[in-house]
Amino acid sequence: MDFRFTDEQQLLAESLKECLVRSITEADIQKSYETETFPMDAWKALAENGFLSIGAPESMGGVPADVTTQVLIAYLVNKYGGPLAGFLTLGLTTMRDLEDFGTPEQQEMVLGQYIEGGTPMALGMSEPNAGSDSSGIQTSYVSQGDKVIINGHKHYNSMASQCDYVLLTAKDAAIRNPYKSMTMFILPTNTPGVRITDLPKLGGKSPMHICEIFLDNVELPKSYILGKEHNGFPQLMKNFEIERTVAMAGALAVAENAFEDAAAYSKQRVQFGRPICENQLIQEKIFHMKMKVELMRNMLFKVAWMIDNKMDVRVDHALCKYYCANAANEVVDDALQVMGGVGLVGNHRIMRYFCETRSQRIGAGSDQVMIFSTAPQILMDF
Amino acid sequence: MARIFVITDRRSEWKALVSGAYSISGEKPLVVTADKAIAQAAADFGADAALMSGAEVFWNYTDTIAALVEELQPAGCFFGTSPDCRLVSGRLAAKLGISAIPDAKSIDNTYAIEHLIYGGSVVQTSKSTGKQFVALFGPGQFEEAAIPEQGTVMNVDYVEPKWQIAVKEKKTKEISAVDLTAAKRIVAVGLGISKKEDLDMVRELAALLQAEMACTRPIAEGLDWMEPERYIGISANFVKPDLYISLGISGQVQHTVGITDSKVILSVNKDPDCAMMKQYSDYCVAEDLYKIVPALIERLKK
Amino acid sequence: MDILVCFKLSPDSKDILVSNGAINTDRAEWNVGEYDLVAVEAAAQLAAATGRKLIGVSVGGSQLANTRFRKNMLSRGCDSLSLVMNDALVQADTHKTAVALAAAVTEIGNYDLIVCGEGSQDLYFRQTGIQLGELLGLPVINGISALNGIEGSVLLAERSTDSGIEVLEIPLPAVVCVTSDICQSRIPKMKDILQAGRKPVKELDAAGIPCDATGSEIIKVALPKSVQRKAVNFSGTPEEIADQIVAMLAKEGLMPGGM
Repeated sequence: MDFRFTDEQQLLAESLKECLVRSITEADIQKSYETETFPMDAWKALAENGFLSIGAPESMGGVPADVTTQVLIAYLVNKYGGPLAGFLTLGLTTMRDLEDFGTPEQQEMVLGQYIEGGTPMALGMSEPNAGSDSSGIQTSYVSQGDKVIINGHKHYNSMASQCDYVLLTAKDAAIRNPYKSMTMFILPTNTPGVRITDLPKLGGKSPMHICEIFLDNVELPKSYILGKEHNGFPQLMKNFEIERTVAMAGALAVAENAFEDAAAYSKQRVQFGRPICENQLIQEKIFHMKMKVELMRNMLFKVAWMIDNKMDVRVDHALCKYYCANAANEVVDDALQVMGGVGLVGNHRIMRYFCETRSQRIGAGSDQVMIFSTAPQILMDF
Repeated sequence: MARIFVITDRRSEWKALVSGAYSISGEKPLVVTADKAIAQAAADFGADAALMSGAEVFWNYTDTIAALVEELQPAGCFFGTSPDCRLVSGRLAAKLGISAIPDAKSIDNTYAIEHLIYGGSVVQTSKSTGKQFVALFGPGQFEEAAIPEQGTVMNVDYVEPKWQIAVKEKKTKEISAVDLTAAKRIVAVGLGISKKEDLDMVRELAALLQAEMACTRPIAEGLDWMEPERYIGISANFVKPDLYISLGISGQVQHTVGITDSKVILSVNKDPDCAMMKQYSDYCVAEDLYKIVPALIERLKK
Repeated sequence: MDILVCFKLSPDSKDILVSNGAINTDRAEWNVGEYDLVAVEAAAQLAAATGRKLIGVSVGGSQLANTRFRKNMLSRGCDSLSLVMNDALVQADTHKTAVALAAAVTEIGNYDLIVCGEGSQDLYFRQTGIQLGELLGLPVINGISALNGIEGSVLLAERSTDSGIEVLEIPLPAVVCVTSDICQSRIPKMKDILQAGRKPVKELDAAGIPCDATGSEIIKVALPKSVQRKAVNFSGTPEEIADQIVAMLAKEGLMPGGM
């Protein structure tokens, strides 16, 4: 069993890390949080160095990337690029969906600008009455010849006010069956009738806004349907396992950063005449943080490998998502405890990590849904 | 013992090299130069001199020097560390079948030469495997001391080089007259300085302390904010001041090897975890230099 | 005519230990130093501008078999690599390396320019390229800070010295040693990384390459003497700190003009 990355993956990792380290610093990241502005300069640097075309269709000059490579990229951008990961994760989802369901025109329209350093598609799925229950959406559309008219309300849409397109789910008002009425649309955010506002959130200021979208008689040509009309629900289900796995690359990166910060701090912080790393209770935290980071890493890349090898990950991806989200929370919490006051007052990145990791146990498949949807599967073997 | 040749194209270096060569070998060194004034000054200083002529560029003297070495069979050659010296000494070493030792820190009377490798983390002592040694010394490695008895100047036949590189144009710049290796107080800046204009306040501080200004390599070579003569580090100046103040320097070993002989080191750096603060300083100020320098200037003016 | 660029695979300085009076590289990661990567980039840019092929050349030990190292260099603009692998060349000094390189490039042939970096990350003699040129009997020059093109059989370049910039015309074939700031090393793109594995790597027959021309004999290696520093902290407001500093300077007799 060879757990090593290939030469190409290692070289890609070195290149990407070098690009990130050259183009964005911790000071830049702090500034982006203070001003709530996405660091576009650094994003463009990623584009210039060709990193945004990894995973794009070859017809557009893209380079294919298996899920393992996508997870590796997401991990690195989260580790060294801070908020850049917000766009990157959405971008990987965008590319996957457009490759699977998009027409060449749609791919050109959305990915053409994305690869050059433009914006990904934000996700417009959650609604006040439809979170875990994605088929319960009420945003709906009626057909009018070769266009549709959409009305409704979405919320918790990460970075929607910062993206040029939203991947929207809406149901055909004429169809009752919730699993057969959903259609996916590519919605340009400047379409008349679309209003996007930013919401306040846990953690306060952030360059990654969380938004709500109001749709008031929004007219959209049917050519903006992604995939097949009424096929939205199966389309949604197709890639969500990959999306959850890639999202957990962020959990790993953040947990690892927090652990490293805490370990370095414990060697330098002197109290009662000696560095606190010599205290056993601190050492216990160091041990547990390291252990969890390694377990997260192993599970994450194993699930990626399973997906690349076309294995069934219905159970494993859920185990991974649950474990990584929760372990990341535990690691960040331990790291904060080790760092003490430095993590509560001032500008250390552990403060943002503490807030941001909490949402991972809720979003993109909550802890409870992970259990609820897989425990029966697990039991089927006994 | 056989004599040592001293070869440099820089006016400021030859005296120290001559003194060093004499103290090691006990013999009158031979200064090999194309500069008539240096040849005469060398003779007055007590060394002999071999005056070359005929070339417009220093590297065209390589074959002439090699012929002189072959003829006179010195114990070895001391070179300076200018780019031309590195070029000529390297070519000479190839001809002699040896490696020239660059940026040598010391040499003893068995011609064992010490220098730093691995970015300054290892000291290596080596000897030449050939009939001569070649060693390059930066400024300040030897104390200047005149040699008894006047020396003589002789002329050297020019050996035509086998190839030519044409210098079409020379865009010269002022050579700084600073000698950091002799400075008693130094104020040095690193990448903690964000703009070239900010050097003005550092200049004011240095003036109040009657200190020389210096920097780390990226400030001189990367950003070009200070002259290359002012950077301290493994391939440049090694200093031994009584007082060394570092502002915004993180303390990479390539720089800190150049300051270990400082008597007192005071560092100002926002990052209390950097190597400069943790390992290399007698007095540490974990504060923003943009706050400390103005405060210190105010205090010194009182 | 091709352009050759020489680089060295060496242990990373940060992993080096000195134990029992010898250099221990057991824990070291072997990689190509930044200054050599800069040289490869400068050579690659010139090769692209003049429509020439770029061949990466290195001599060393069995570490050169590492596929990741090979693909790394091939993803940075080299069209192919030519390598000499002989463990006798590990930790070789500059003369020994230059002699081996001279034999290697002579065997490779069909070149009119050899580009070398400023110096290797481990020994940093800044001399191997210079010795190489001399051994080949070719025009050789260091401190090259710009490569401005090839016209006919002349390389247009600039050289950085203490006193300024020299604008040069270098007759080819020649050997040039470029500075560490002639350009920035590139960030290899995914496409280049993926194609690297398909580019040719030639292993020259080590038997035909002299690997014993040592130009220096190592007598001793040691750690540099470390000075124990006091690490006394001054803290407070900037004004308070300034007071503490001046008090210290006075106490240590470091104020200009004494006390």
